[in-house]
Amino acid sequence: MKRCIAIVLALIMAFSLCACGGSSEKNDTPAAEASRVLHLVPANVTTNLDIMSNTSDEASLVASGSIFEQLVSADADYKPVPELCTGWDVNDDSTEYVYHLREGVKFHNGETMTAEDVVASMNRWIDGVETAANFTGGAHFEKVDDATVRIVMEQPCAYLNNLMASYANRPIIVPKSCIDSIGDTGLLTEFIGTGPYKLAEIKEDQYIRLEKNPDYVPYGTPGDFSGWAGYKSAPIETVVFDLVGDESTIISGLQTGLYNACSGIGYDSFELFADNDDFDVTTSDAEMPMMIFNKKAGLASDAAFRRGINAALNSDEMLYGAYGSRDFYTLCSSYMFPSQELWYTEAGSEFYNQADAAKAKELLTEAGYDFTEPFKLLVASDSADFYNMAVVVKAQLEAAGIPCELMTYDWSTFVEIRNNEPEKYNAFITSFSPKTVPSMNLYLSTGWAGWCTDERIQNDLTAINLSTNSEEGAAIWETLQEYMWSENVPVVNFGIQKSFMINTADVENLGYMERIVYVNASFAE
Amino acid sequence: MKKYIIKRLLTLIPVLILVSLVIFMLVHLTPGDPAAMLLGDQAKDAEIAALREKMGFNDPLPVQYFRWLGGVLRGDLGESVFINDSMSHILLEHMGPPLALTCFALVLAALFAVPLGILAAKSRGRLPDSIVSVTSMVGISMPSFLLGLLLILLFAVKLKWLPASGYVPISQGWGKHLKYLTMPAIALGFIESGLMIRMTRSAMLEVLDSDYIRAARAKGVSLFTLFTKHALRNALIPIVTVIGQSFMVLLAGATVVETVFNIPGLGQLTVNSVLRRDYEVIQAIVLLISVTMCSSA
Repeated sequence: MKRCIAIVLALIMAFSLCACGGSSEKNDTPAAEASRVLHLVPANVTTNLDIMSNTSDEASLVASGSIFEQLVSADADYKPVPELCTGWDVNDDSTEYVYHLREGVKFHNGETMTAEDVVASMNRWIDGVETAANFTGGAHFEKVDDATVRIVMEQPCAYLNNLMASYANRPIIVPKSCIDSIGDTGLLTEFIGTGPYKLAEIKEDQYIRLEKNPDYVPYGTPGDFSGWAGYKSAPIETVVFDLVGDESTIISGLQTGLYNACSGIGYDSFELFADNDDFDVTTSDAEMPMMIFNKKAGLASDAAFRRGINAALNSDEMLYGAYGSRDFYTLCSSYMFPSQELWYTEAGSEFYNQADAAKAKELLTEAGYDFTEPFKLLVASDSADFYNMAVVVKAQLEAAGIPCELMTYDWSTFVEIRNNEPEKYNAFITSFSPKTVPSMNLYLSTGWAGWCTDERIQNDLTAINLSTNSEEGAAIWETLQEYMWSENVPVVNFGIQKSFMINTADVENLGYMERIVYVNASFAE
Repeated sequence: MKKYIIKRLLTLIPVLILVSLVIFMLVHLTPGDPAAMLLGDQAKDAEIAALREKMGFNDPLPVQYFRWLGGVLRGDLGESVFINDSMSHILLEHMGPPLALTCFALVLAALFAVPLGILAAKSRGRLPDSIVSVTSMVGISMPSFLLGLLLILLFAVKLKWLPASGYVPISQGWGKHLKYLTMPAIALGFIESGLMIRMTRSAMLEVLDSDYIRAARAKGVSLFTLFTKHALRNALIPIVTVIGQSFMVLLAGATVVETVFNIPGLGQLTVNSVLRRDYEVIQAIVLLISVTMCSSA
């Protein structure tokens, strides 16, 4: 009898523990079946939704434009569009911006958005984001009246709205009380925004659940939505982001209808879905993969050496090696995307994709390189694309007589070495999404790995920021790009990578601009 | 007994202090920066440095160690900056799924292995014995992640009988809970079932060769009664021992299966935490495992 009681007690204890593994509410798991819940899968796991500080694509996918909104957002051409304001006035020399706030906007906690909230949020952005402080010269927003805020700067800033609309550190508007309650880390602990969806639950490493915000008042006209901005109807009541680490799990989940859409999975899986009527596949110009030279220390701190390395590179081979098909990339010498008509230029294109080993040897010999010290290329093992590119770079350099050493690490170690140990490597490979102004490109910054401190580049970038009209800025950029290819070579752009989104055919109105845009997504009847 | 327990607890103290020091040093000396992970790839040096300062990662390591140890001694294992929750709650949340998975896998493995082992013993040297032997060899040889992927392909993608991945706690219903756990449990339990089959077969053969079985047969006892009442009861001792030992093996193996089936267990938590350098979580998990091992040693 005693033994029976012991067994029963042990079983009760075991199952009690098992019951701890999840929420007690129904239909809130990633597997809530049959209900009209939209299941999306971010490429990586994230739980920090403070997208002002967290620059990851995954956090933006979950929160940007859905939970949080901004004063200014971007349309499909990355043009700034009013979001939480009805419009703005700028003076002639672009030193003063006045924003007229939309009235009656409510936060998810029921409070009405005020000028104080906007001022606190925008100033948090300026104080916390180096690029924002550089653009504004450290000037701060101030309240004019209950429905108007402004910023007065000592220096012109023609591209402030571009920066606000599309920079990776997003100037989200949150209640002032949330900012006041921020703790030691400086990160938001409450994710309260004004968007069409509100955060319902974060289940660590499992899922993030959003519920429709019943108080949301859309702006614009119904059906008029472009890029990230416009009328947001939020037809789906619940959106769940399933945090799945393994790619094969994502693929089988899509095939079985467990998930509705994802992006960022490997190119090998494209064919699996492209010819399948049950799925829609959308491709888009996504990022520019680049080799960033370490200009702080070592071989690549010499521009003559960088020119030599650049001469040896064959971008076509590299991109083909990474993506396996010419459908997934475009050769492009411009550092700005072709869709950005104002900034797109082919200046310096003769120095792109040279694939000239003899010229490389000649340039490197002139630079005083002895062809014995290895060129150390840092790459993260987590990204198969970057690793494959690095393997091709190594082969191309070795063909030109340059010994090359691949330094392959997991992402955390890669970031640590990249940021803090410049003496250990000469270059690394990564990629960048479109930026609306050249000076927003991180790889041209002095404060990010690669450390682009060249005086000419920095002066020209400042001149672009200070230019009072876009034509003046574009002219400066054209000469700067020429200089970057021919003289300084701070980075080498390989081309444009296309990414793709896969969604089950029953989901309609999903947008895709850098990330999945789901605020108007609905299920087919 | 009291004395023994007190003595054991006292000897645990220096071991745990040493373990805590080793864990702390290992975690903090491994390259990687939680602040950089938290702020994303495009955060600038100054922004990362500011967060490091705010999070206390710029303090000297001994200061950080004693701050953490002080918390542990007060029963506070810290808080994950990534998950934004206390460690005790995180651990509790993540212990349920692997326990459920392991229990279910163990039950399935035993239910599958014991009858097959008896069948193999009964038909020793004949075709069924060979088939069961091959099955057990496949079970022992096949990695759980491969079997998991094959099961997903068959039962989820092709037949659409079972969900491809995910986890539903018991609180949402037994049916759903078991439906989501079935494939992972089969993938996990199949390896151990191979071992159990072999153990059952050899234990049964040994018993079936004994004199009292021959005597029972001579007395005309039915085959069913002979196997279940006379043979199996005595053969169970080594079988139950193997099943018991399998529990820890399955619990350890659950990590791989958790990843394939996206089950939010301790294994997946550990892997994710190591990848993003979530110091508090790694330290708490390793400490928990150390305490468990030291206590049971």
